[in-house]
Amino acid sequence: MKLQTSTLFFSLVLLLGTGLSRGYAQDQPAKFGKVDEETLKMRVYDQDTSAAAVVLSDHGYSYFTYNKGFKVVFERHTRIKVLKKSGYDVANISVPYYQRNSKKESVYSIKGFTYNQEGGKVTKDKLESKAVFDEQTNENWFAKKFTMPNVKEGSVIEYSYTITSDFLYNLREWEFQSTIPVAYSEYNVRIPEYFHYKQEQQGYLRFDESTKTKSKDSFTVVWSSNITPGMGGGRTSGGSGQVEASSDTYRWVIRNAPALRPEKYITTLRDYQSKIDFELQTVKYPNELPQVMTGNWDDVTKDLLMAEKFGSQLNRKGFFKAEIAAITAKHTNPEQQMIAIHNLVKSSVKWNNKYGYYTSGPIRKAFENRSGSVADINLMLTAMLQDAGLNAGPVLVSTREHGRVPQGSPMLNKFNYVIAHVKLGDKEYLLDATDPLLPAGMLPVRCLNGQGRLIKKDDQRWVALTPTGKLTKFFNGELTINPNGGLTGTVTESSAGYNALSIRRTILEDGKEKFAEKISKEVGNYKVEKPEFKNVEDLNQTLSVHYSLSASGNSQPVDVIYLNPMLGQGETENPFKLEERLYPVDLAVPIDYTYVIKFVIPEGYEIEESPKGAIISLPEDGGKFMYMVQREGNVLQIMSKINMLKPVYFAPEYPYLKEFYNQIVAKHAEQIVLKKISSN
Amino acid sequence: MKRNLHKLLIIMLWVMAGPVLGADPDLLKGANAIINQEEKVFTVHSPSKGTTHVKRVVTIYNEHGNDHAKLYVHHDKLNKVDFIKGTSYDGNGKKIKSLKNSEIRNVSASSADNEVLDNRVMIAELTHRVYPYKVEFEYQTTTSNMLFYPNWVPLNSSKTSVAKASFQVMMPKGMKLRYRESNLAEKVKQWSTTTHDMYSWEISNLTPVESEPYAPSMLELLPMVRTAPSDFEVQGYKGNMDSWEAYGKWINQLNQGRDVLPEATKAKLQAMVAGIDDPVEKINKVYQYLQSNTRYVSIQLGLGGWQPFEASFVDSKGYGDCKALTNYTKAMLQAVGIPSIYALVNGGSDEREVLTDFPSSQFNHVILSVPMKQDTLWLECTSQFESAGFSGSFTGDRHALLITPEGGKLVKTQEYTAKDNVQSRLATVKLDESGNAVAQVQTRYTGIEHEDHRDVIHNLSPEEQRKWLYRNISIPAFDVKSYSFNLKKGRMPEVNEKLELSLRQFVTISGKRMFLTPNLMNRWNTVPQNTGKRKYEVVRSSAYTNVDTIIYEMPAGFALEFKPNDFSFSTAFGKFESKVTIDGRQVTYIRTLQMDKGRYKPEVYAAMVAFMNDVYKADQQQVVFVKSIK
Repeated sequence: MKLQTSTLFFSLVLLLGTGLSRGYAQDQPAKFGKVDEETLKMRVYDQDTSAAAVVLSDHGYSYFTYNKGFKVVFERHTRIKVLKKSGYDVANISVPYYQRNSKKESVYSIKGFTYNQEGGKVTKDKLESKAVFDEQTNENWFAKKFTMPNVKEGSVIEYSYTITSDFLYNLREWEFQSTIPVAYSEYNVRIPEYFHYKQEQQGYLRFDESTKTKSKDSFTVVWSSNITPGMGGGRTSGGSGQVEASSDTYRWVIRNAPALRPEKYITTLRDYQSKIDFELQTVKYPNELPQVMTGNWDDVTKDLLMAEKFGSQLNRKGFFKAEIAAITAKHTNPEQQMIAIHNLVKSSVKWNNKYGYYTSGPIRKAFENRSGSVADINLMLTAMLQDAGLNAGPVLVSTREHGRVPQGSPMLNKFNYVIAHVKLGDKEYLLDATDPLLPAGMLPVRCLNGQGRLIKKDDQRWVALTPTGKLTKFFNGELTINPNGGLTGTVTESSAGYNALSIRRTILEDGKEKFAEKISKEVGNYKVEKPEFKNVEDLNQTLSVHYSLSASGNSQPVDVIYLNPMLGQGETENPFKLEERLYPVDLAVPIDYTYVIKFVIPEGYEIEESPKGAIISLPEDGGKFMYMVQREGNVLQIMSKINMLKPVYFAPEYPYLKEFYNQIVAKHAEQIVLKKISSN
Repeated sequence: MKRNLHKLLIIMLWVMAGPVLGADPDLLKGANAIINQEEKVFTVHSPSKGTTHVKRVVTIYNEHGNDHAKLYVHHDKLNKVDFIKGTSYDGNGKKIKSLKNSEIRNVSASSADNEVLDNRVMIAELTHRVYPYKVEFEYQTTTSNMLFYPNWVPLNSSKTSVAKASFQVMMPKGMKLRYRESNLAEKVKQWSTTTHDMYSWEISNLTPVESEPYAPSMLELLPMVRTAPSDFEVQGYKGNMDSWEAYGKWINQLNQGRDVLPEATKAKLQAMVAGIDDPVEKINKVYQYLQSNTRYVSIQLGLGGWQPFEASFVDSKGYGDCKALTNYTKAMLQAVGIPSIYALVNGGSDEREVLTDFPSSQFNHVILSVPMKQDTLWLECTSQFESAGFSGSFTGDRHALLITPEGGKLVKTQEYTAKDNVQSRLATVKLDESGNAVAQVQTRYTGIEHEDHRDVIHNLSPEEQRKWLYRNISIPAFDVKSYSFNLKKGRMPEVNEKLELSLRQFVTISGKRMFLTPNLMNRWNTVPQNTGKRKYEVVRSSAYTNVDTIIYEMPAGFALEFKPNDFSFSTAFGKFESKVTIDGRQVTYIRTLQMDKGRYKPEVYAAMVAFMNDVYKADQQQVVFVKSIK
């Protein structure tokens, strides 16, 4: 028997045996088809009285079978209490599934009931199979959609379904938390010894139970007769046999998980959700050498560098030889070479908005089509940089929307992006050529998410994806106050870093003419005219907009002139209004806003009142607000500077942030008062 | 000289553009793509079958024109795609590629979890990255849903020009075509062959149309031909569309016999209203029963897009779409002796226009009309919480087609004017010496003005409601100490909101002066752009009134230095008044803004912007106090 095992796995058909025990561990609070009266009577969920619905129990179980290859089976049974009409959405269920080429997932055994209590009687409505619809979302994604009957306030709904999957790489993940509270969530996973998965847990909640038990699984193996074509071929007869494998069964339970609620300034809500995720590391069949699917970074790096859609593209340099030779001939300074190559990629290939770290095909094709994915573009950039003799390598990244990357042993599905890294002497640069407006060395905001992984044979490590620029704005005004309270003068607004990036994008989208038209407008008393731009195209220079500004006053001179010296440009509302904060405040990019405004006081007037200077700091050098007032002759100068020095503030710092902005808003509202000097 | 230069430029453009791209420079101005030629032919085979054939050649001049390299063809159970072909050519007219069938994606056009629709879309793409390039698409669809005949809108995307486009309809002899032309330079050409009556339209040299703020809907401005059937048939249901009456008769056929309730339900309903005489009270009972026993789920497959589920199905399953729920409610009202009428309407806050003199299928929603002694009560049957008889911004103030036993009849739904949609506020604000304050704010919202609060009350948890208040109250720095909402349902529903706010540094203190902006929380903070010369009429579609009365109690020891003027503007667009009165330590601010809806000549746009800027300026006014010297 033993002798036959390996052959069985690879050339014969194996069916799931009856020996596999399918029941899961000890307690099973929800029994399908039965619900107790107390649950039906419940009108409020005590742990969260505002909940519109609550998941009473959610059970998941993943295990393996074999049928022309291994499959993962996932069973789920969910029971939900509907408390309010606004919770009705939970009764419309969509189960997405995936197919690619001949590999597929299928959803079956969809069952469901709705329970209601009417006049002391419990009614039970069955989900009918004709109420289950199959929908194709796009070429690879499908969904089973069903809607539960007779849902009212107070209903309990339950449903169960099974999914079999040919995709072993990602054993189905489990979310313990949802946008409604979850009273009980349990996931069981039974993995035969052939497979080793890495587990990744995240979230703010702890497991109430977490166990691992060993057991033996007995598979009944059935193989059919087979004809082997060609020389030495022939017919082998069918038969059956037993295979034994030891398995690990994991069980995780979380009770009373609170509802997940979105906040401002976060990466993605998924980063804060309690869940568990798996990635296949190795496969070892009996009497076979183990196959490493992923594992330590050493091996992953090696594999990636050999992969057809990653490392091997870095060696396909033939098609751009001439361009790179021209650049190295023109520039001798390595930094200039780097910038020139970055510009070359930006101008010759346009991003098609597709993510991923594997190329969509040979990068040569992207070069010829002048269009490509993130990987097509940035691996092409890396290849070109290497070809020019620069010390460059790719860096795997997970975008902010995609979520956090766990460090430690590698889980490649946690990444969805790739950029280029260049080391010139002691200096290191991170480059992304997907956005024509990004200068070399600056990353788009989507990439500013923790750490990326440098994939290089001799230099593999985590690199910090910190912003190299800030949200920088410099507002410089020179204005003359007229005796009627009006103003005339000029303003230059300069921008750098991420602020310049966003203005350049607007200019690119609107066109210079439209953008100028947009700026030139009259709001309240203020009127902006004749805007002029500088350095719109030169990405390494400060972008500036110069315009004339005027404010209408009264028709005749006035005795007292009141003026907000921030000209309505300051902070008028606190961005941090809520009392509390659960998650860190993730601004992504530091802020640096400076205003310097000079006022010429009209003759015959004196300054009766002007704001006092102030300096306010956040704890641990987290930020600083400076407000200064200076007077020289008939010129009054106001300077305001807001520096938010950290891209991320932790939740305990929130009250300080809120107060910091309160102070800024109050200071920016302050006024200058000028008074006519009485003639005597 | 200048003229010569211009000519030279044209020639150069011509030369650069190469053989296929000899475009008229006037067409290129402001355009990312030019539709060189589009031919659309609609062939009617019979009252129940028709074929649309489209051939389109587009030249794309830059990346912003790439949308034209994508073709979307919608289809469903009643509309089949016969074929899609496509070829792209480079700037020299050399073929780049032909579209393969395997490259055409076929995706679902519905996405929400509470929708099951058979609407799908085929997507073909021929995007190229070297400009200019040309794409040629040809496709054909066959429909067995002859309720709809195609519309022709040759210029249907922005920043695009059309060199030449044509539309042809082939009607078999004996069948009538109904059509409506708008904004066309040239009218229809008509002729006959032995078998068909032919109708043809042609248009050329259309340049990009740019929208303007507060402009009428694009569909009013663009050249367009709408067509509709006279006799038609869908899935065995024969009808005629010559009049609204006839169209209504067809709907009656579809609904025939679908309003039968189980006897048990009838008995339950009758017991529920036993002893009640007032019909309004009966309607309320039935409507409440509907709202607590059903929910909206949109399952529309094939003819299900037009035919409701049987009332007995909704009764046993507790869900359905607008047709099913309306038909069910009609059956329930019937059971308690109240007749009502199924009515087609355009739901949505912008979808109001119905061409009243061109009977055709122009609706996307169904509501129920209940004739009362004095007037009509309208019921929205898909909502679990709407007030009985409130149409609001979703179905109010527009045409609806009543499906009476005698056929269709077009009527207007309830209108909501500036007098109905009111936000009226009374606040008292007590200030201390450091500029902090405690405010008690009571606001009453009625009519369309109550809708935001209505949704917040029904959809958000208390924690989310509090967050919503923080997002929506515009005061620089504040805390919500307590809040309450009280919804009073009715035909003119209202919400009473009570807030207790603590305000941080609400007034600005500079030295010995105190600056108070008396408009507490209803300042206008944007003004639309004055675009200079204007082409289109100005349309304002919302009407409302805001009244703010704010009473401030100032700290002791301050004397008034400056009080802003009172303002009063009255224009065609609305009226504004603000007034500050000071009585000892009490400052009273009263602001009234009434905005009317209307349609105005293009020339008045500048005056409207000026009015809005006046309101903006008035809202910024400050009262100044000086510390009394003691």
